[in-house]
Amino acid sequence: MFNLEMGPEELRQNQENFKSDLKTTEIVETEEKEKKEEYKKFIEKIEKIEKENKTEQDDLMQALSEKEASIFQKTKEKIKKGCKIGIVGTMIVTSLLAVGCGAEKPQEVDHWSQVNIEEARKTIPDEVTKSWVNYGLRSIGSWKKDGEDFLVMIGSGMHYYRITQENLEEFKQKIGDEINQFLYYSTVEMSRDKNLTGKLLDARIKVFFAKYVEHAMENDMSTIAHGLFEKASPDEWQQLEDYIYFEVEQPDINGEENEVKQSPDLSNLDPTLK
Amino acid sequence: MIINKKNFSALGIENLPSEKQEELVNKLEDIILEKLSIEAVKKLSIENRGKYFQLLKSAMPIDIYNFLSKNISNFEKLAQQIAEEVVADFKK
Repeated sequence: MFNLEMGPEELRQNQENFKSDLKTTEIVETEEKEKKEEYKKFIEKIEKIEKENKTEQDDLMQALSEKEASIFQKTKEKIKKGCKIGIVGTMIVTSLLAVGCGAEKPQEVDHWSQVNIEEARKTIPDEVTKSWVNYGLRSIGSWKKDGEDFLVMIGSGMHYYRITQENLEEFKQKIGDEINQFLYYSTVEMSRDKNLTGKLLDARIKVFFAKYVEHAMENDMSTIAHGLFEKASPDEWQQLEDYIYFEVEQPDINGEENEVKQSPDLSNLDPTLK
Repeated sequence: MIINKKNFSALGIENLPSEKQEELVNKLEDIILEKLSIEAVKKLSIENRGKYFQLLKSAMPIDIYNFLSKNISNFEKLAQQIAEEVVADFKK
């Protein structure tokens, strides 16, 4: 900084510092400008891909009946969400990895084998949040009703599923979905917080499977620990009591008609079917 | 966000600030899922397509995935192909 009491040498040094600061500022500004331009180019690429997608979607909408097109538009985000949850554990991550990083191709995952639990743990390395581990743990437990033990699972959207011998296979599927969601959210959290530890996942996921799933499948229902539902809040208990069910149909969106008028064959839109 | 930072280098966006990287990856992910939603309808048989549109009105998101996965052969492979195409387009 300039000072009236500065000598010639100090003045010269001051001038040098000023020039140096100016140069640094110029470099930073240039770098920022380059990054902005680079980002702009990426956005343009994405917009181009989006435009192509839009054309494909318009073609499909024209091929579908009016009713089908309307349902598709109304439920598009739900479809995407479902695909994201279902696929993310094994597919898109691995695909993107495979494209750019030469990672292994995705494998079909049987969520019931210990081997694949180990694989799943590798998919989510060392960082998983406590909250989502707890979510996994909270999603299954047992419920005593009329003196009998029932295995109960919280499904998507806080729906409660009562598990019986008859629907065990379906239950396995549902549990697989829960695990997918669990893995997905763990991945999300992993990317946010690098301080989270894999040890937590290691310990908790083993407890989750061993105590509340595999044990339940292989042993008499009465031996199942009541699990974490015993620690549920009064509200949660009430919810359980009110909503224990399995496969209850959801109401239609906006009370729409059940029947959907169908569009003709769409194979002409799918080049792989030609 | 479905891919973590170590994968950003595959997209060539690693020099951008992290919030911009996340923004781009989220956009790409949305494109992949949108494209998959479109292709899935085309791949379903006429019979299953009817069931699908009935299901869409009331199903939970994960049930939609289960239906597609069950009724479209190699559905996950299809998703993989689409992801690869989108990433390839982006890298052009």
